[in-house]
Amino acid sequence: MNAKGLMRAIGGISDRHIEEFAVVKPVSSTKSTWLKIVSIAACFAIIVGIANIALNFIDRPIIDEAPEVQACIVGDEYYELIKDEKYIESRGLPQEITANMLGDYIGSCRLESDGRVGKAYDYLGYSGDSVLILELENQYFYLFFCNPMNIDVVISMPDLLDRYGLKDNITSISIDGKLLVVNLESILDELTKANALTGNEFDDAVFKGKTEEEQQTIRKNMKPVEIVISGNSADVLVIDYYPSLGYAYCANTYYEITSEFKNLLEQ
Amino acid sequence: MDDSKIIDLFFERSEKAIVELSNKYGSVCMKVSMNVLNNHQDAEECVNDSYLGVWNAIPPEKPNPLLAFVCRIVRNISINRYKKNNTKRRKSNYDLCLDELENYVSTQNTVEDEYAETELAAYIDEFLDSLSKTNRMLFVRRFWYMDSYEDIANASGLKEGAIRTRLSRIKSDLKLFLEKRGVIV
Repeated sequence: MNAKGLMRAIGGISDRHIEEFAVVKPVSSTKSTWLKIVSIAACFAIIVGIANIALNFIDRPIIDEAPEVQACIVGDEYYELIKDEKYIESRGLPQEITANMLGDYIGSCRLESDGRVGKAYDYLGYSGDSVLILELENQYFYLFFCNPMNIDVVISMPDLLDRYGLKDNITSISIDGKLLVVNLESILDELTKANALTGNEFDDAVFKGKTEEEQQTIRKNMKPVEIVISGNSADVLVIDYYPSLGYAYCANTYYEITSEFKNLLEQ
Repeated sequence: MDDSKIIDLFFERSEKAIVELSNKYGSVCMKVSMNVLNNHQDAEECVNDSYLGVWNAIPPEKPNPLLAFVCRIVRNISINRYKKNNTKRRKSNYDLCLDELENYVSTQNTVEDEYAETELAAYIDEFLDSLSKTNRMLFVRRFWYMDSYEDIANASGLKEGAIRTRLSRIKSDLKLFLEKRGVIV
């Protein structure tokens, strides 16, 4: 079968599917759909957020458009292959990847777009494993950690920091573009205490028992601010924080922020 | 106006039926046609041809839902018009969708393909039912309505990159889903 045949077959799908999405509303009305949309958007926002913020810090033009990405599977986690030079620069990585930058072999890596399989290696330049190097058909590419494939798998905050090479290695934290200069250790301490929740658990915690109107109000008030954490020889971690809810989000995991953390921020 | 009332007007052979149909679904129809043709004049003609098609079909047809019925006619007429247009034009979303699907299908077209397409549509329905609402929306808007990524992003609130990534996964999953059912695409 060719692509035209497949398009014709898609043209023959049921009326209910055609009607269901004849009109698409921004952020849908059911909480589960909303949750999934936020999850996808927030996952990608990590990448875009890092790019924008890093570029701000180093006084370079901001990337206006999200770089094209290819989803890859390494083990049971999603990584994203990004070739965009500006994006790579924004992550503090050299454009040219050479063999001496490769660390331990992590495992095979399959590109979801076409099924090609390559080898994923640790990137020696950074602590942690949020950035890997893919060897595919005698070429090297950067892979950037996105999230576990299983939506029921959460990453604890200490593990997340470790993933980005930031455990005991944090040099700065900024929130909503403002660099934190006081209470840094206490803030970090409280951040690591955040309880990790799956999307469904978050959904229950925030929306369960609420009327549709109340849910809509919660959604409207959910305006994320970015917590950006940097370290020495480490990747930049961007976490979306929702002050109105007291929750943060990263890598398909929701973090229940402690009240002490909020108090420290207000100070 | 309710769909049932519009259909009543068609049954009464009232020309107001076309006006009401156009008022209610005209913009959706134009969007579908424009996505395929990328030409306003052609799209307008196709939409008008589609209204005529609806006029001829109702009665005896009493479609429910009316919107899907009309959109399907618009899509088919627009694709047929696109095939007839031999002039070289900028790629439409129809072309882009075909390009995207090329990587997921074999290039050979067999005799059984025409027959298989009907069955394949049923399998795709089943596959769509297995998806989350968000993923279903992305697939249907991209490959049925042939929306651009920008349009889907604007309508859904998702980032374009996230939509591309997610659709890439969905296409791989669809291929596996079909292969498990003995359908080699």
